[in-house]
Amino acid sequence: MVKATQLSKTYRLPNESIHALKKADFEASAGEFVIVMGPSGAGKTTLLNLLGGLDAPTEGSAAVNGQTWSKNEKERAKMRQETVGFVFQEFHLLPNLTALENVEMPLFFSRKKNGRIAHELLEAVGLEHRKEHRPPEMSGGEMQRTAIARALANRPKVLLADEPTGNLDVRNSMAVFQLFRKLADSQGLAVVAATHNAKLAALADRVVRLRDGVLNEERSPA
Amino acid sequence: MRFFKLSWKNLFRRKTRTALTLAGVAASAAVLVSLLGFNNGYQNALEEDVDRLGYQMLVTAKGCPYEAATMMLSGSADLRYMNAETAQIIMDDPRVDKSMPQLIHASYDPEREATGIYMGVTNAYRELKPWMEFKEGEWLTPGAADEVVLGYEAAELDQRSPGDYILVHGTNETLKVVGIFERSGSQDDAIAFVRMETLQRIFPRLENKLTGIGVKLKELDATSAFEADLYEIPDIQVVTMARVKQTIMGLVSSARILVMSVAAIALIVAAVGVINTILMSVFERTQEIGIMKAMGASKADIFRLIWSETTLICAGGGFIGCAFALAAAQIVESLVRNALSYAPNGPIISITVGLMAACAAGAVLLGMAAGLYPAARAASMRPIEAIRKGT
Repeated sequence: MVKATQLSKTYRLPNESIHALKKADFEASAGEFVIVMGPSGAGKTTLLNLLGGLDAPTEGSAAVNGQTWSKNEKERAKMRQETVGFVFQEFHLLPNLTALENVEMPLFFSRKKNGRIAHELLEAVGLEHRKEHRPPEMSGGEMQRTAIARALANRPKVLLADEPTGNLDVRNSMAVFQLFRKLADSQGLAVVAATHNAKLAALADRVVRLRDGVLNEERSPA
Repeated sequence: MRFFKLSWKNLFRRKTRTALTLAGVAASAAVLVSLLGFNNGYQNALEEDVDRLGYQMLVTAKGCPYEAATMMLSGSADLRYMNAETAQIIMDDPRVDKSMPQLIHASYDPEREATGIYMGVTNAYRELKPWMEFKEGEWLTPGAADEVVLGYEAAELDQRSPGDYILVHGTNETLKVVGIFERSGSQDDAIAFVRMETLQRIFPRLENKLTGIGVKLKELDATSAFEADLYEIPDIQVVTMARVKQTIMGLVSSARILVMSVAAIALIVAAVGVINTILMSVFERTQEIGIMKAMGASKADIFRLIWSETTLICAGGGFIGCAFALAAAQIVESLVRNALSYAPNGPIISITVGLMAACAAGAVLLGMAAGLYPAARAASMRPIEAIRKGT
């Protein structure tokens, strides 16, 4: 469902080049939940951004649903709309919009009919009762669950989560990863999540480890 | 529609900043509406004032009009006159709508050591100046030869009322006062009006003579051509009210250029203010724009979103400014009236629905123009860089 081939990213600075990702091969199929682990600066965010088409690789290629990311920003925006959902550590909800409006936002950009999709997604993450609340009135866990509902609004094929539990306590972290597990199982979503937390790795099908831009398979699907 | 809703909500995130920007645009729009309203109103009121003279041109015998006026006032008998035949040619011209022959005579009374100014007129005077109202009495009775209507000041000077008699200066003739005009603020206030035939009977040497003719044309556009034709007739001169207007408007137009420059500067300041505010808000929301792009927003989506915000703020400011200008028109009117050396009688600030609509539309266009750069700037942000910059 999501595939990277010899994916490399080099950031060129005035005096040096930083190789954030070195010839990484990666794949996650439909219904698979893969966790990317590694210390800060190892290249986890770079990998997720490249897989989700937010950034362009220096070498190699990434594809979602069999389609390689185009260099054209307009086509990339369209492909992001149709295939990928993002979840961030900082939630990044719009503070002036209600939970429901935040979930509706991707539908607004894809011009899809909203209907009850946003309501159903909020219900699925257990937040139907908080739909009229704005982010400042919600807890960290609730905000992240709203952000997950938002990421699912356009019915993506792949869910990419960059340190989604970085700002959450243990209980909420576990709830978020259990939700990912459920989404992979019930909806056939390919979920790729980066985390520091080794305890959460047990919920995943596979764990890959990144160190200094090099990707290694650590554990085969359980 | 949804874009406007999202933009609308965004404007409320920084209420004070939005309010101040709105106030800036509103102030500029109010200044613009007031200035354009003044531009319209002043010109109209001025034209109305000149039109109230009743005629568009005054045809007189050739000579310096100032000299003629001085001679009249000093009681000299050597005024220049035009003869009745010349007058008839002018009055019979098919382009003439109404004409008012007038014979002005200043008569000195050595015993009283006073000069009386008499104007011989026809009923055309009433037709051309219907707004001259009577304080007391009424107009000259048709056929009655020995009647006089006094201007406000002429009546005050001699303390006369309708029914009284006056002795014509320098003669033994008496005339019965039948009416006294209200004060008009014009030269007519000092004049005693009698029928043309009466004046010519009392002063036989004025027979067949006229001082001038006030002429009102059927078509205002024909003024220049008619004036040119009149100069074919020897020994007359023409003073057109259009020229009087032109002279006054010439003075006004230099002031107008100044006020329009002020309006233009106000608009530029407002536009720069709006660009600054929206750009600041775009920079503050860099990360948010990145997130929206990650959610599938295209360049065009982001452009529209920011552009709508700018347009909304300018449209809002425009409407508020127009409403404010309309509400404050009376105050501005009195301020301007005090500042002007010559203010016409009519309203000098004329704010019409059309003017307000034009200014509101102008504010929307200003918003659209001002929003181009911030919107393009936001749209061109690369998602990953936008997300990174915000962290």
